[in-house]
Amino acid sequence: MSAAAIKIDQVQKQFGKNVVLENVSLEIPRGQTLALLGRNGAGKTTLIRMLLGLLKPDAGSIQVDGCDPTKEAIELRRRVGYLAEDQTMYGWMTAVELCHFLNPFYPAWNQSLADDYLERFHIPRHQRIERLSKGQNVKLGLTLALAHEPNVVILDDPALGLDTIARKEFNRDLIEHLQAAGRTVLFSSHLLDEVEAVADAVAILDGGKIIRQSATETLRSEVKRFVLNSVEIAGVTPPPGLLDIRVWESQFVVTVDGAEPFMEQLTALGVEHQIVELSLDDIFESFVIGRTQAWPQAGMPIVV
Amino acid sequence: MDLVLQSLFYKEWRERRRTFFVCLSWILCGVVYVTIYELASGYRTPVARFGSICMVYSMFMTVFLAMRVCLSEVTQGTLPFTSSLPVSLSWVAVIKLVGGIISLVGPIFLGSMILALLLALGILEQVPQRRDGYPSGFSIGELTSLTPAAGLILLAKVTSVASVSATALFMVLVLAGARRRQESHIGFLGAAISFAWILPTEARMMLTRAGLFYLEDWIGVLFPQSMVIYYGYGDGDGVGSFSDLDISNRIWLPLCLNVLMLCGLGYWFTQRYGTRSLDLTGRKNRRWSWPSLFSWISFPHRGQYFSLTWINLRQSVPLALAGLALACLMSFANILTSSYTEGGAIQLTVYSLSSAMWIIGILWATVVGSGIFAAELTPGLGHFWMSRPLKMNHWFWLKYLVGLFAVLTVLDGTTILLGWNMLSRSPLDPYINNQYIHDRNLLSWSYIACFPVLHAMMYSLAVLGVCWWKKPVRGAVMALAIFFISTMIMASIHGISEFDPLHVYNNLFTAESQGQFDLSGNHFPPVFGTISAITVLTAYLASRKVKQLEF
Repeated sequence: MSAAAIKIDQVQKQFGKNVVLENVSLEIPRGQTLALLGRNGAGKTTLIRMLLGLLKPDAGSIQVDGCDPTKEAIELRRRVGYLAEDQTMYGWMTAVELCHFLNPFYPAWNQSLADDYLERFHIPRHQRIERLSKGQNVKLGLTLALAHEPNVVILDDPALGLDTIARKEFNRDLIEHLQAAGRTVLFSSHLLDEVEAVADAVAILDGGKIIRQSATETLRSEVKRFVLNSVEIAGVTPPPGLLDIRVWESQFVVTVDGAEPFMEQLTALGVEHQIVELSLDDIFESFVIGRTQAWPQAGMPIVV
Repeated sequence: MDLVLQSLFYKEWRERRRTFFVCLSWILCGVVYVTIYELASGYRTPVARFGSICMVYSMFMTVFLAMRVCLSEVTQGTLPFTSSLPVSLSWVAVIKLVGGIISLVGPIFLGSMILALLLALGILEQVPQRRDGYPSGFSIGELTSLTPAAGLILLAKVTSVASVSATALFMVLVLAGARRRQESHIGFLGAAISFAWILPTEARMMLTRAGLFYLEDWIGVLFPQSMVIYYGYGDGDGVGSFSDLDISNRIWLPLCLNVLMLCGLGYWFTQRYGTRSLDLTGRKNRRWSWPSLFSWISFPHRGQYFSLTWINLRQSVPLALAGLALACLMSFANILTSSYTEGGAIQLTVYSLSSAMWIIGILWATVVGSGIFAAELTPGLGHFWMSRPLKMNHWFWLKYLVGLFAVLTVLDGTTILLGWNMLSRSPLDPYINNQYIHDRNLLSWSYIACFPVLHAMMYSLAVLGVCWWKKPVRGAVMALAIFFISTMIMASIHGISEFDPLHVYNNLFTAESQGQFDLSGNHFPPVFGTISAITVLTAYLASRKVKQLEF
């Protein structure tokens, strides 16, 4: 079996003239929790639907837990745990009825584990789903996604619509029940501050392309913000990994992917600078809405 | 006009114009049909025929319009936005109500004006209304035509009653739906109410039979639909049919009083519109709900097919039972309004259930077909299903077959079981010689041969409609419209009318009553063979449509 639990290779998808995914490649090793980050409409849900065999890619190949979703979608869905964004379930059923109902669909379904999750997540067993809270609904969805003990779990923005505390609680459950069990998790989200605590690695999807994939810690160490004097910066050549420039009074605030070489360059030139550590939220912002056009040329006046 | 109202009217027109053109097309097609039919057949009953078209039209379009008027803002999620505008929701409701009524009634008036022109020009003629009905073998050709003026007055009366009656049904539906959360709820509720709306048509006759003549002319204040009763007659040669109408002596004053009542209902609606909390957790505030009994006796299912059968039975059987209850109610109401009071009402209801079930079955098979598929094809539940390890094709066919089983078992199976004694015509049964039972279409072998097949086709057509459009009410209406329009057209064309399924059933029943039950005659094999083929074909097309959801 391949070392990668999920392997996406040069996948393309377009709806009419709208290109949603363009040559997307991604590998998630077994046991890793990867957060797929992207703005609304970036193509996260489309990619996830392809992983489950719900959409067919126009080009490229996908392997999930050794299965090709375009050919073995049913077998794949038996093996994978999946929680959709804003998942709808039968409102007239109770949690326990839904578990009993889904039991025969999954050969590896473990009813005692499902009961255990219901207990741990404080989901009333005999209360109709329509009367559960949003948080309880999401946790019930997670129970259904985990009760057949899948190797790979795909969560499509599961905390969407939850309040801050419920999201934190959900993430805590996620860490406790998924990461501890060594499962591979693909976790799509646009709430980055909460992803930070959960994800081993992140992939940033923007405009239908993966623009960055890295271990979370590596990303945080490689992407940094530099605060420079506006006079001194005119002599510095723009770094290759420049993500964002902001002018703040007499200072330039520059975000760079590849902080180490840039820091060496500044030190060599004797340019005074301050380094600011960034949160995942700031890093994501720099990647998707960063502006790089304002780098000053030598001899040009700087408009502040 | 106030600029705010102008804006609201403009928005209402933009939202309602498509429905308005559907309504207009329906009525204009009806007028064309009436004109061609009357010119070709020479029966001279255009007013009655137009009135009966308006009656069928209002049964369907009121449901559609009520859904849109009550809940289009909830469906589209624009109610919070509208509530935040500096105009009261009551005014928004007034504009919506007026827009709905104009869309509903406007086409009736336009159609009536065209017909009036044809009557005034002498292109069409109208015979007098007959209150006592035609004796057997009567030829309508013996009647002299009304003067154009008298014909126009009759048309004005029928148009007014049809318009007020349609508006009254519309008001009842919008009031019932004002605080609902889903359009489909009003759709299903509306289907039941609009069929039940036919029941009070007999109210005037009931009062006459009860000797309450002084109330006869005033019952229209409460039930405007009772002011005109339409009758259809087969022609002496058995190849054509003509319509007659029975109209109340007093029309205008009861109608005005009814309009006043409708204004009151309209005011009530404007106060209720948009007042229900849209918070989804609002359901928790319900004081009482059915206990989840099934949950306590639930156990892990053994196989996928068992699981799917279980869930489909839980969805389709309660829906079908509602249809059975409606048929029982209709049958019971028929007995109460009849002059036959001898015998136990319950036993008579049971025995005469088939006389209501044939038509309720046609309606309710579509309700079950659209109801059980529609919710599953919404993005939320549709995604829930598609992401399960299950082939959509298997899912579809199991759901289809379980739903069909529920329709045939609960609706037709119960009717057949309860009326089984009627088949044997046992002289020991005290009810067999009851005059009421004798006068009705009892359960017969002809019923067993024809109606379950017809109901299966209606179910299948509704399933196709829903799978095609993913909209429950549109699917059900499409199925019913196809059935009613095709039977109406078939019944109107000489030579083709013999192939009308209801005509085939009537001929089989008549022959059976005379002791000759033979399914090889009366065009039964080609007609019901075709119906069976349509059932299978539509189910196949629906399965193809569902399969497309996989990729």
